[in-house]
Amino acid sequence: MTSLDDTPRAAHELRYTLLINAAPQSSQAAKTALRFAESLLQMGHHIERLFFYGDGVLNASRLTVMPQDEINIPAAWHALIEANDLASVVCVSSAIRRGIVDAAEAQRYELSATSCYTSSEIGGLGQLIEAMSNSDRMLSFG
Amino acid sequence: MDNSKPNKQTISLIARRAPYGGDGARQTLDIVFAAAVFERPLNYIFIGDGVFQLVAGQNPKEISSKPHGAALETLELYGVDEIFVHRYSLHSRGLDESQLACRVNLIEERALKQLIAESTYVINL
Repeated sequence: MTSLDDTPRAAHELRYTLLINAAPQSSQAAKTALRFAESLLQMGHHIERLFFYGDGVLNASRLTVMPQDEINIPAAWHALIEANDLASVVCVSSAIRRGIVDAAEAQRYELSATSCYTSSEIGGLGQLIEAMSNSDRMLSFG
Repeated sequence: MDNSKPNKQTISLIARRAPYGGDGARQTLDIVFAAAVFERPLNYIFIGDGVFQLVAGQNPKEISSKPHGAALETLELYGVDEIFVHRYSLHSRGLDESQLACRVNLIEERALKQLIAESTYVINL
């Protein structure tokens, strides 16, 4: 991703919840969300929680492989989440339908593999509602 | 936002897609249920093709889907009674209130705009 060296600092720091509803490969929305999240942090804003919903859960897939000249969005999310110690939740009901499972879900459904980056936690919609309540802004992408 | 009134944050959820072509309708409904469980004030707003979600007596078994209207009938049990339908969207699709699965408030464009403008959060899937 481009480094936005000329990004100004925010005059007033705000808390944001981002709802990401788009798959990384099918539209620009996930890329926009990623760049928006990076810009928020560069400006000094706080990200209360990332919430991946619907097809957006595919952003947490650690099994995604992209051609070398294309950005691997799930890997970029993972790096951003780890580097900034962000809270990131993947909606459980959206995730298991799409084969996004962590060790606990794999065990529960007797699946032979895990696919969710460990930087995101698999959780419920209550965590979206809770995060929104603790945020100044909620933006949805996709 | 007004942090002095944390319990007054209103969420508006806008349903604008027909029930079975994509999963937007179901996703919006799931957020409505979650918000209701957390007792958050919410407006559930149906505009455009979203009004088709409300039609009573849906039977999508033949297309391997679960009926969307059946879930909407349970909204009242969850305390969700702020259901708004854009009158023009409903009527222009040849529907009227008597064909809907639950009780709704019909509203005009101007009231709809105000409802959205006064909401703390808007989710539009």
